[in-house]
Amino acid sequence: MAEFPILELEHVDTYYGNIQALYDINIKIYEGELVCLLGGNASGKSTTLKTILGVCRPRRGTVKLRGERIDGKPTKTIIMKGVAIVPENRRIFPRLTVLENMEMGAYLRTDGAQVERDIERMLALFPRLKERLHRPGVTLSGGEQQMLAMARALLSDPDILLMDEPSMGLSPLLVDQQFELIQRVKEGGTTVFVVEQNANMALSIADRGYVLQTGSIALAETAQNLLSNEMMQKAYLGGET
Amino acid sequence: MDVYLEQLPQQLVNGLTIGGVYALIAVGYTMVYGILSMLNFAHGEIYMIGGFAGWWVLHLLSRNNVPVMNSAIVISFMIIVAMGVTALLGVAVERFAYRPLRKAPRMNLLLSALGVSIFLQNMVLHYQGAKARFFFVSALIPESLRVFHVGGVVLSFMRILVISVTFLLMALLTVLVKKTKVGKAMRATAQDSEAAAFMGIDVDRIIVLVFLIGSALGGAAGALVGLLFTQVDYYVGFQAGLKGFTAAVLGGIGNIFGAMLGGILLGLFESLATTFFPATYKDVVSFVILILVLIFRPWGLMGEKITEKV
Amino acid sequence: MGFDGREDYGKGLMENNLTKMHWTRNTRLVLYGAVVLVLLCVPHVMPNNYWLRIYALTGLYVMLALGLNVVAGFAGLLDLAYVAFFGMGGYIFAFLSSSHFNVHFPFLLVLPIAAFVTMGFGFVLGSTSMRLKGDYLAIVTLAFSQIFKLLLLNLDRPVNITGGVNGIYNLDPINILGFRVLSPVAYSYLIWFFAILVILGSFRLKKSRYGRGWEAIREDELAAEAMGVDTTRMKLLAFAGGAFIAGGTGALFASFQDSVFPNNFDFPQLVIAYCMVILGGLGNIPGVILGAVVLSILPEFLREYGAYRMMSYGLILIVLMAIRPQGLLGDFGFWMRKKKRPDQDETGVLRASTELYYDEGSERIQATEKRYSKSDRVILELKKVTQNFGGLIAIDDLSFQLFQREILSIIGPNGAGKTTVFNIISGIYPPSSGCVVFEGTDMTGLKSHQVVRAGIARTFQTLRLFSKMTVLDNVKVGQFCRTKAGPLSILLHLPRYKREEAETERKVRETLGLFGTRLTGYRFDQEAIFLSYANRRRLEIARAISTNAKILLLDEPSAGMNPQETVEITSFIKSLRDVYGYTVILIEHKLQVVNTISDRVIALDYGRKIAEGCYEDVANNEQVIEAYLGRKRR
Repeated sequence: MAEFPILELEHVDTYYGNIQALYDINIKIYEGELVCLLGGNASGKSTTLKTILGVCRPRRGTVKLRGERIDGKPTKTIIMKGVAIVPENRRIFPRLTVLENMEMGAYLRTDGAQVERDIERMLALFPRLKERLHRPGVTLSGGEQQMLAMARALLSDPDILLMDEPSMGLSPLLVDQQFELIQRVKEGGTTVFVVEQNANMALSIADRGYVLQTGSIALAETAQNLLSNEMMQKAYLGGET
Repeated sequence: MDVYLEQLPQQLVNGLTIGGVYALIAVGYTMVYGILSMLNFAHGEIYMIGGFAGWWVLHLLSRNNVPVMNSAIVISFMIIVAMGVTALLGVAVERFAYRPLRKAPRMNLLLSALGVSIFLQNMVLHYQGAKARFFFVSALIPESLRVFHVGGVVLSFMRILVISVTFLLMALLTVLVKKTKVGKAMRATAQDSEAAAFMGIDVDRIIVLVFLIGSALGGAAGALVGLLFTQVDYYVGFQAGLKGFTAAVLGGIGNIFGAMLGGILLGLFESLATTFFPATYKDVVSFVILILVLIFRPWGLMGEKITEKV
Repeated sequence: MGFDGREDYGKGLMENNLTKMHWTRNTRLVLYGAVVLVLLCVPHVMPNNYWLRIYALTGLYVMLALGLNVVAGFAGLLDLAYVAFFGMGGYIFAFLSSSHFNVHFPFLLVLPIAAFVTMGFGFVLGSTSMRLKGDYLAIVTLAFSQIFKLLLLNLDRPVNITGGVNGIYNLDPINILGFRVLSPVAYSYLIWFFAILVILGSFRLKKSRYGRGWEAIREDELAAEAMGVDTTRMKLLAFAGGAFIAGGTGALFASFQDSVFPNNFDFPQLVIAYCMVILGGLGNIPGVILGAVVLSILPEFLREYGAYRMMSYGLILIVLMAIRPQGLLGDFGFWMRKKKRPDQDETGVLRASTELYYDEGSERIQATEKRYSKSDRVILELKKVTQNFGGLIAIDDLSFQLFQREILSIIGPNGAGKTTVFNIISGIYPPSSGCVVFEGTDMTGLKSHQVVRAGIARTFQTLRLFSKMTVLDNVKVGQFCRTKAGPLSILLHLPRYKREEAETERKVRETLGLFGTRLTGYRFDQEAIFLSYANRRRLEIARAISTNAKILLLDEPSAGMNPQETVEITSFIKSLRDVYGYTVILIEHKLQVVNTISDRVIALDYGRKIAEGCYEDVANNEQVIEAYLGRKRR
């Protein structure tokens, strides 16, 4: 296990105007891990992601990527430094073809030949995409869009892959498929940070998990421990009185 | 009936000529709408300024209304300078009038655009006067080519020029937008600007590029129309703007190829209408089309319905 | 100080308020008198005819701008055909009062004809364009105005109707009951007389339910519709109202100029009108008057006319939108209001609002016993409702009943379709299939404002208050559908209007009083945007209550509140049923809230009902737990 975390949040407080949304968030993600951030509604999950991506600026604390501070930097810079995201509801470009979507994933890269090789690799990993290479994104089925969104994000050759609520809006079958995909990606060596509401699914593939409750970290354990923890249910279903 | 059929090929040519121009103007509108969801009212004035820029080049390169250089060079310069001037103007307008309003309610943006339109129109009126400027094109073209007949249809050098240049520019735009990385980024940004930002695309820069290209095309249209109809005045932008906008809406606002199609169709409709209606009512055709489309099929021919999320 | 002391203080304050009111009425009378005096004298003070003319034109522009203020300022509609209505009025006057058609109707007949006929056209144009959103409405109206101009220019052949580019001139002089209006001085009196009428009318409209309805539409059309405002009708009325004023002004203008030409009613005039309204502040009547005056007079000090002036107008628009979109006087009222601190007594000591406005009544509420509980009568029923959003099934074959005076909670993970259920019941969109039955009547497909009128009101998960409207006005919007005063009642302050306003005021204060002192006192006049988050949530509930609803749909009412506030709002919601007999459907994520007050609970997942019953049963249902924590990997 590497000592040096790829992504680290230390004592992060984030506000929306005068309302505090995150309280003293501490998260570490090491290379090769799959870590999940869990929590019920309005727990602060998307605020955490926004803070990492530079959409929100923390009022206190730091966000570091490979030791380098990225808090307060513009989103484009952060992405350039090696963060990729599969947004909520995947957000593939509907009227761009599969290939064009993937090319957009590699937008910031300048090594053209390697990009082509990586595209080939992705197509080998997701053969269904190869079949639909020149079809517009909106014609893809839900499952194919999932694959496309993943491939697109991976094509930026990121240090860490963020996933925003991958199960949102998906039928149960597709949710299974989605997490299988994520697991495959992790096994390929990518570091993954999954923000997710569906705790059981996420924990079934994660190494570790953090549980958020109304803006602070209520639990931080290995996935194994969390799965059997009764506190989980409390933290999720609205907490105690 | 035969009389009408006889006129058909002529009307087709006329329609394609003016249609190409409308298409160029329409593309400028649609590109900006696709990315910012705003109607750039000022686009018509940009077209008009393109016309004036073209006139200035012709004026500069002529002595006693005779060009001092090869016609091809003069015409090319006219178009290129017109495009350059309008491109810069478009970028300036975006930077100073629209960018501060990125997060403002839509009405504010529209009013600002209205303000830009009035400002530009009257600036030209103030500094150039109300009289029309004439393009002395007869010296540019050899006598034989000015007007000629091909199988009963009256053609002219200028008409051919306009059609070729407009279609060439449209082809170039198509290549840019479909084949180049930055063109794809433009399309991606128009479809989902937040997701585009997540790819690392610099959305602000893309917006500047859209204004640059859209305005340049409008400027080219202005210069070409100046050559075709041999005159330009401060007021042409208003009318042309409305026509261009009609074409963009007809094709489906936000869709570049829709705008091209809409422009050509509008040109053809207008042309065909002149066989049935007196010429002064020609403009009414486009306004009526506009109103009908907006009321019955606001997403146009190639657009998509959008519903509000609650 | 003790109980009695508080009472005395309260009484003293009342008296203080009464004298304040007296003072205000006296100052108002003095103000009116001063205005009348000024208007009588000004025409005689003008140095020459040229300035007299400007004075009269200013009056015309004030009216024109105020008419536009109704459409664009009050209702927020970008009507670019407005100048065509101005022209219509002018040309109607020319048709009916000149030798052009040899029709010589008297002025007192032509003026109303011009205004009403133009208003009719306003209705027609408005009804074709009402479905269109901002930009498109602007363009369609612009196209109409261009067609109008083209008609003016071209309808002189073969039959000379409009006089073409030469217009119509030598119009009849105005003759009012034997008194001839010929001199510039007489015209000034006449024009400013009408201008005062329009100003008064504007103020009256703004303060009425119409003004509130329009402002609500401008702030948030969807929320306005969901609070019972018939937005389509109101927008149409604004359109037509603006056309009415423009038409009347056009007739006056035609008479004043003794002619009409097509280019009197063209784009430049439209731009000037818009500049006046925007410079003053959209919707702000004193501001618009100021804007009209400034932009009528100021350009006369500039040597250059024509293009330079128009350039400045363009620049005004650009710069205003960029740095001060609310106009010169926009927010002015707000700054004034803030200065008043009624919670500061005569000695200058600040007192807590809770002390100041202690209301015995509100304390009584807490102590009152429970009077109502869940009955056995079904009041609302969803039958096999499905909602399909282009392939995505948000609600799947959902059926349930709601009993009168019940508190029913709907729970479920994100995306389960809870808000969609509310949207369907409240009429935001109809279901793909199935029906909604309220007290025996099928309500499926009714528009939101009709649902509200029937007796169902809601709040929004993401809070949709009318931010720039005051607390009182926000809640008054709820009463819109329970009042009937129309333009006539409002403009003439007929008894019905006064009665309804007083009723509305009373009911709204009463509703706000339900929340103790939080939303009362100086808060009444505070703009909603300045309230704390929790107070904003409470305000939204108050607004829903004020629609006289029987069923309240509360969408995450405690979202974002801290535990203490959550407890308070929870017991408040319970009292809504226990004491006042409301029926409540609640969407809640905080399950302890659900536990405390629900009679029954329904759990949704993927749009399907997976459990129904009392809280214990539902909360311990395995499917429900799995829905929240997520399905385990198979």
